[in-house]
Amino acid sequence: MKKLALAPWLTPTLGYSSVGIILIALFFTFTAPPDVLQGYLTRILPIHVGSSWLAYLSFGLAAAFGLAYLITRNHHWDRLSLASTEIGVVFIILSLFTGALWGRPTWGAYWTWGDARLTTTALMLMVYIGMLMVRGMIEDSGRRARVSAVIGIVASVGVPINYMSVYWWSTLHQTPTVSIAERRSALQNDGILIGFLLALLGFTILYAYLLRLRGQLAAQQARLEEHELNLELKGVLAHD
Amino acid sequence: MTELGSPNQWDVFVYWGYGMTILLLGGYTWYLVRMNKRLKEQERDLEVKS
Repeated sequence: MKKLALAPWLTPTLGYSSVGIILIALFFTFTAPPDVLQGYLTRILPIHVGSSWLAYLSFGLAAAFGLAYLITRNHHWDRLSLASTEIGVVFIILSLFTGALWGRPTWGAYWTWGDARLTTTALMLMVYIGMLMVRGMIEDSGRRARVSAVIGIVASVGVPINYMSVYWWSTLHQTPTVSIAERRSALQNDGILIGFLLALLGFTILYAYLLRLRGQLAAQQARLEEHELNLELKGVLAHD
Repeated sequence: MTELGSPNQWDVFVYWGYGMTILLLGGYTWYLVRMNKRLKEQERDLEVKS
């Protein structure tokens, strides 16, 4: 069977780069002096914000890949949509866990259903887990791709709602830690700010790496399923 | 928070956060490695059959 040979060096390069950049980000984060109000708790932020950003990116691109599938009917886009959704689910779980661990000392609670950001994040997680479950229940690959593309596009509405929830509802969760549009940063020293920005870059490259890796596995899986089906058909025809 | 600045009793949450990160990303890596292994085995089986 022929394997995909599209720039095979790119996948490990992305993997090593992301790990390298995240390690440098952690160096800056862990050598920065403590924040006056939050102490060393700011060390959670690069991971929490990085994983939240990655979840947004994953779900946004999953919708774009789904749309590309609906337009072209090329299964390559469906596989990328699946990969992106799966990565998004992993990182939104990480965002929820690290957020809860940061919230307990800062807000006095791991979780509160009264907060718009937390509740919409939990809803997004449930919707995307549901989408992956629906995929698993549909045998026909064309129908599976169509249904998940539509769910992915509709569910992506949750991304801007989730991001804007801190402005629209003004509940417990604070507005973004660093805002380029508003030209402000809640981080008090340069070390933690550099670590924070490098972590965002590292997580973005990690997304590209995981997307390629998971996409390649999905492509391999599709090829094997097709090959198996062909063998079965040959067997049936030979038997007849 | 007990007092301004650190160290304080809540710093341990930082390590819980990083521990959780390692567990979750390690788990996902394990899932991908297992999937890769399973696909390779399936490919070998199909080559034998064909």
